Amino acid sequence: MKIKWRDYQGHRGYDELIAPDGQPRPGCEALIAHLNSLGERGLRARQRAAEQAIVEMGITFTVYSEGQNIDRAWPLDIIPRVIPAAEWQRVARGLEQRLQALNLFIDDLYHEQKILRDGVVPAELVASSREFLAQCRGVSPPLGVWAHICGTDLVRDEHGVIRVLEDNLRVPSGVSYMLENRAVMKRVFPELFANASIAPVDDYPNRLFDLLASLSPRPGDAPEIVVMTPGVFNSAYFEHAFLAQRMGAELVEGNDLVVLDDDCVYLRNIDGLKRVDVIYRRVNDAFLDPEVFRPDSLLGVRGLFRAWRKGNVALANAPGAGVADDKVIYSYVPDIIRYYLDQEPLLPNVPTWRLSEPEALAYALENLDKLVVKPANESGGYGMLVGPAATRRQLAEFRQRIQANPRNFIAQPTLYLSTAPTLCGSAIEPRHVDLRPFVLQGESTWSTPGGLTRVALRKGSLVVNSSQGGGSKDTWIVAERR
Amino acid sequence: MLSSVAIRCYWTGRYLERAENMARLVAVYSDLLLDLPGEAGVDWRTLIDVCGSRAAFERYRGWMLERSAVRFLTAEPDNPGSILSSIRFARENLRTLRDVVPREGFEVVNELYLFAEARLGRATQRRARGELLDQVVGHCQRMTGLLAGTMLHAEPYQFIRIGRHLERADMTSRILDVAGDLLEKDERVLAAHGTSLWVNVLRSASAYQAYRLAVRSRIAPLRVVHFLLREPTFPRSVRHCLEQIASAVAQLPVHDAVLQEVAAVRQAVDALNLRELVREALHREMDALQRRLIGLHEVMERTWFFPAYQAIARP
Repeated sequence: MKIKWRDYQGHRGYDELIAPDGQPRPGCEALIAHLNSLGERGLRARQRAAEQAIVEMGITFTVYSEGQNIDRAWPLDIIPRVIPAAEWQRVARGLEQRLQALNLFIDDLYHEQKILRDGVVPAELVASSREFLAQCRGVSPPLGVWAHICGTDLVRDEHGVIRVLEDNLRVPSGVSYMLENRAVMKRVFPELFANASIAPVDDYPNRLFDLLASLSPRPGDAPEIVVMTPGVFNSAYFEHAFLAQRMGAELVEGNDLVVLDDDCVYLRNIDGLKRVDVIYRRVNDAFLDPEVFRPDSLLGVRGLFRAWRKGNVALANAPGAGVADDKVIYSYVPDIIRYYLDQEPLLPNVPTWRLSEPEALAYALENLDKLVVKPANESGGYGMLVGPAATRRQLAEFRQRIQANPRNFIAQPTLYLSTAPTLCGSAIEPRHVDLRPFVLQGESTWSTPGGLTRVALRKGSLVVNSSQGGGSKDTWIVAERR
Repeated sequence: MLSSVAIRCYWTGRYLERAENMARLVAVYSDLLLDLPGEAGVDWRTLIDVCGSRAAFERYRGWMLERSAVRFLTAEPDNPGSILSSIRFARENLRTLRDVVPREGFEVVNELYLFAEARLGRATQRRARGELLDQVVGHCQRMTGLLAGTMLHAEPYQFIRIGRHLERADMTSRILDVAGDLLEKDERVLAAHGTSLWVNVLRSASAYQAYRLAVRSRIAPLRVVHFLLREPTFPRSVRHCLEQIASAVAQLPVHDAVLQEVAAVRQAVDALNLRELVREALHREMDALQRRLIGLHEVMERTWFFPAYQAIARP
């Protein structure tokens, strides 16, 4: 059987692999030809092989349901998403530019606040932000970097333009799945990797390790680096364990660490205490240190903030970095890039209305059924309204919530996200995708080639989060043949 | 090695051993009670006593003693000493040890838990019981073999080993403790059923065949007690367990205090006068032994699990 790519068409919007004329896009020719040669049965066999590999390799994510944490097998669609290397180079430069500017912005906010005094970003916006931590003012983390690890969500609109949907500067997750997806795909499609030039992704743990090591307050020594997890009940626990293992770092919880009178952090080992230099923490700011933040936190370490302030331990990401991934701040990022770097942004934002502005608010309330409305400080796709998919009751409810606190919301047009061919039962159908590359900043800035492609498995759905029925794809950055 | 990882390894070893022991005990008792007449004065409550959970059981039980007891000891999620609970605790510990323990290890125990949760409730039916309990024992032994054969025999493995043998020594002492109770039965019952009781004491500890091989003499109380306490070649004897613990402890850092404590327990076992023990003091001395084992656990806590910071030299 030959896959009839012409039947695949008939959808508006942009497809990642197939051009409107039914032909493969540049860079996808070999892949499409290979999929065709496998036919429906061959494809299904490969999909089963992939699912088997995922179970054998123990790649899971955790969902919380009925009071129990359940490990589910990670959902991977075997048809990869392809991006030509030349296009990716431009995107990667844009991502790096963006993170550099955001770090300058955060550092400025906790020091002189020049950008507020110059009126580029309104001061009241920062003052009212939940993620701005007054306790961080005056702290100078190593290299002046606050957000070392950033997961930037990219989408491609119906005109083929790649845009930034949001920046995740707190504890972004997903990178382990990017790595595991590739490992599975190499097992399932070895012949494709042999014949094409697909950028490898498995350098990430080494890059992350080097970045963390460069933050150590005791240069010269072999630094003691740990990954700090909220624990086994966290939905990203698999990833925390995975990264710790790949970096050869200890995976710790709050009660494995202790801060002594010398304001240094120590690991509690069976043969005594051992000084810790760098903590890659996957615990949110609010739970880091009950001495400074939430006093009821059982996940944190008493005195950790003190140790960090004194420069005795490095935290990645630094506390307070989340101020720059506020969704209202997001709308100012193009201005932030111009302000600090004196450059034009290489990656555009999604057009965004700030509902704190009266005209924008009026427009949004008028057109609620056409817009996506997001609260400023949520992640994981929670608490947002997708206008076209909402019931009248939901619309009315949201209207009230917006009016009660307009500062807390932004509105964006409903993006018709690009699609990619996805194996759905016995057919190949277009499904909407986004992309989360991971960007690291230490002494230099670096982006993963590609990233984690997430796919909305339900027909027509735009929600790609794995906690809400999303799947994933391997992402191939493919060098075109000369 | 992190203290918290050491604790979880240790308890993984204990819980798996506990699940296995309990499965064996319930199977042996099911068999024993079919053979003994009511006037022998042995019933399911004897087994509940072995586990030290008489009070909780009396609150729990329904009017059918056997059904209640078997359910309580096997599939009852609210009894922390049930087979199901032990497996669940082992699984929750192992879930966080997947870096340390071979991947298949978690899978074996996860599978065992899913099996226990779905099927162990049927152990109340006599005909299904033996098969279900065999499955539990088999899974636990598979895990022990898997760890011995594939896990790095480094510090985490030694903690699992310590947990396993401490739990095993504790269980053997409990079985003897109950035997002490049986010795106090009246003469007539002992004359009729005494040997069968001691056979079952041996079988509770999986020691019957081993006893036959090693002792080559008729089954007599003194020899049974000696075998279960001191036979160095029998892997469930208290002495053997203590030797295993000592060998594991010696491979861990800062072990002096723990090693001393193990030696002290061992000396106490060696110093027991077995003749006197069998005549009158079995119950009392086994109680003392169990307290010594708890003491050993506490020394390990102070040394490795929850050491006081002051005691540690700053780098």
